[in-house]
Amino acid sequence: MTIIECKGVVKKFRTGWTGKFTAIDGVDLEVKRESIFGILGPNGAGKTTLVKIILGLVLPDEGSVKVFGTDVKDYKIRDRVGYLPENPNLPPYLTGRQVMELFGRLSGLSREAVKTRTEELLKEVKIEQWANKKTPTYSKGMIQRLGLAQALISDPDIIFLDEPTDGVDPIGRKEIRQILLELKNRGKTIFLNSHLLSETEMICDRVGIMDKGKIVAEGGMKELTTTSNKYSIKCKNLTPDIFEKLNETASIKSTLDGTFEAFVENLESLNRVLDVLRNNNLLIESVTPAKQSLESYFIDLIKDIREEDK
Amino acid sequence: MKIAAIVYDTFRECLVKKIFLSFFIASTIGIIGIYVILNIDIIGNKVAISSLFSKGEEIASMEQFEDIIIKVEAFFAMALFSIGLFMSIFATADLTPSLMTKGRLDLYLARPISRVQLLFGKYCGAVAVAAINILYAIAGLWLVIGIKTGIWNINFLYSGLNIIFMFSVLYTFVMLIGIFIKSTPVNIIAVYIMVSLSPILAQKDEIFLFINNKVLEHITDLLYWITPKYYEISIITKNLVEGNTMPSWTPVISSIIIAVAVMNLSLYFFSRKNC
Repeated sequence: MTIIECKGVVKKFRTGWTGKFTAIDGVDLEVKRESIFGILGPNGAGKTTLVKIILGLVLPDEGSVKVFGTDVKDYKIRDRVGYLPENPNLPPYLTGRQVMELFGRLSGLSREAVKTRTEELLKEVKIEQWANKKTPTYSKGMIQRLGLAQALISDPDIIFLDEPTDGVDPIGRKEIRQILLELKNRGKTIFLNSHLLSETEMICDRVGIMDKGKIVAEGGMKELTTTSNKYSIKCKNLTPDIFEKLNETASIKSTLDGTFEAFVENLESLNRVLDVLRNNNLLIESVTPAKQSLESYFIDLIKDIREEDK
Repeated sequence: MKIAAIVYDTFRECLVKKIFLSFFIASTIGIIGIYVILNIDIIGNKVAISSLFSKGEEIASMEQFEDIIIKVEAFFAMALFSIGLFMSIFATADLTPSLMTKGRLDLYLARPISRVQLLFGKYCGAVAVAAINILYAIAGLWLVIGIKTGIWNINFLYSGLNIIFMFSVLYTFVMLIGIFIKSTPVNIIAVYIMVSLSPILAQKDEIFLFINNKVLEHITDLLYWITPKYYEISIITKNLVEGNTMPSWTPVISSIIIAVAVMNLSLYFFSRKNC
C-alpha cells in the first residue's frame, strides 16, 4: 500500500530580486507502507526540501503530494506523522519533559497520554535523567535523541527523520538504528534522510538518490547494490596458468583468500568461466552475485552524472 | 485545545525570559512607591495631602480633593498607556521572530495544527501576558489610591481595558513585521515610529491649514487611516478616567478594523510561508 505519493513536484526558490533556483525538479515518488525509505544525495540536492514538501511545511509550485491518500495541504494528516528536522531548534525555555508535553498536547493527546508517552519515550531514547534540564544544556546528541522522542510522541504511522544520527556517538547511533528497526517491525513507515550511506544501507529497504532536485535512481537496496555482470567465485588451488585461462574468458580479479571476482558480460560467459574451473578439476565452493556498497554505487552514479553534464 | 497549548507555551516563554518578573517588579515598585509617598489627612470637610514633594497642602473641599485624585489617576492611566504599552511591546516583540527561527517553526507545523491556529495562539498568548501585567499595575494603583483616599473610581480600572485594547491592536503589526523580518529591534522600532506618528496624523487637518500640498495631504490621509489611532485612544482613556463623555467611537472602530485587517494579512502571509 502506497503511503506517500508525489507526482511531478516542482519547487523554485527566489534568489535575489529576480532570480529563481529550482530546488525540486519534477519529482515522482512512491513510498510503501511498513518500510524504511532512505533519501540520499549530495549537499544541496533538495532532500530536505522534498521532506518538507511531503510534510506540507514547504508549498510546491507544481505537482501534487499525498500522504495516506490525502493532500498534504490538509494539516489533519499530521495526526499520523512524526518529524525530526535537521538541526532541531527545540524551545530553549523548556526542559526535555516540557518539550514532550508541548508537542504531545499539540498532537491532540490527552494529559494522561502525554504523561505516559513522555516517560516511555524519554526512557527509550535514554535521556530520562536529563528530562528536567533546559534544552540549551543538552549536547548535540541529546538534542537529537529528544528530537526523535518528540517525533514519536503521538505514536505516528509515518516518521520523517532528517539526519537523525547527526552528532550522535557510535553507540547512540546503533541504539537509534535499533529503535528505527523496531518501529518498522511494529508496522511504521520511516522516511530517512541521512548522509551516512553505511547507516542507510544497514536499515533501509529502498532508497532514492537525488541530485539537482531530481530523483536520479530509486530501488530496493539489493537492486542497487547488486551488479548484474559481476560474480564472486570461491574455489581452492587456483594456479597462475588457470588464472591466465580464466582471463581469456572474462575479466578476473583475484584476492588472497582464494576467491576471485569475475566480470562477465552475461550468464554464458559466467558458465564458460565455471567450465574452465571444472575442466581443471578445481573445487568450486560458491558462486554469488558480487555486491557493491551503497557508497560506491552512490559515488559512481554521481560521478557519471557529473561527467555527462560536462 | 491546541490554541490553549500555544498560549500556555507563550506564557512559559515569557516566564523564562523574565518578562513577567520584570513587569511585576516594576509595577510593584510603582505601587509601593505611591503607597509610601502619598499621605492624606481628612479632618471633617477639610483635606490635606502631603507627599515627599509637598507637605500638608490643604484643599478647600472634598469635591476639589476628588477632582485632584481623579486627575492623578488620569495621569497614571496616561503614563501606563505610554510607558506600560511601550514596555509590553518591547517585552513581547521577540515572540514572533523567535517562533520563525530555523528548525523551530518546522517542529510546530509538523503537528496537526493549522498555521492559523499557531499564529492566533501566539497572538492570544502575547495579549494575555500583556493584559495580566497591565491589569496588575492598574488594579494595584486603584487599590492603593482607594485605600489612601477612599475614592474608588471604577473608570480608572476600565482604563486598563483601553490599554489592553491598544496593545492588542499594535501587536497585530508586531506579528506582521515579525513574519517578514526576523529581527526584534526592527520590529520594535517600526511599531514605535508608527506610535510616534500618531499625534501628528491626528492633527492632520490643522497641519494642512498651513501646508498646501495635495500629494502630501493624500499620503497623510492614507497613513492616518491605515495606522492605529494611538493618540485618539489615549485621549479617550484620559476622558474615561475623568468621567467625561466619549467624544467619538470612530478611533476605536477604525483601530478594530485595522487590527482585523493586519491580522488577516499576517495569517495570509504566514500560511504561504515556507519553513
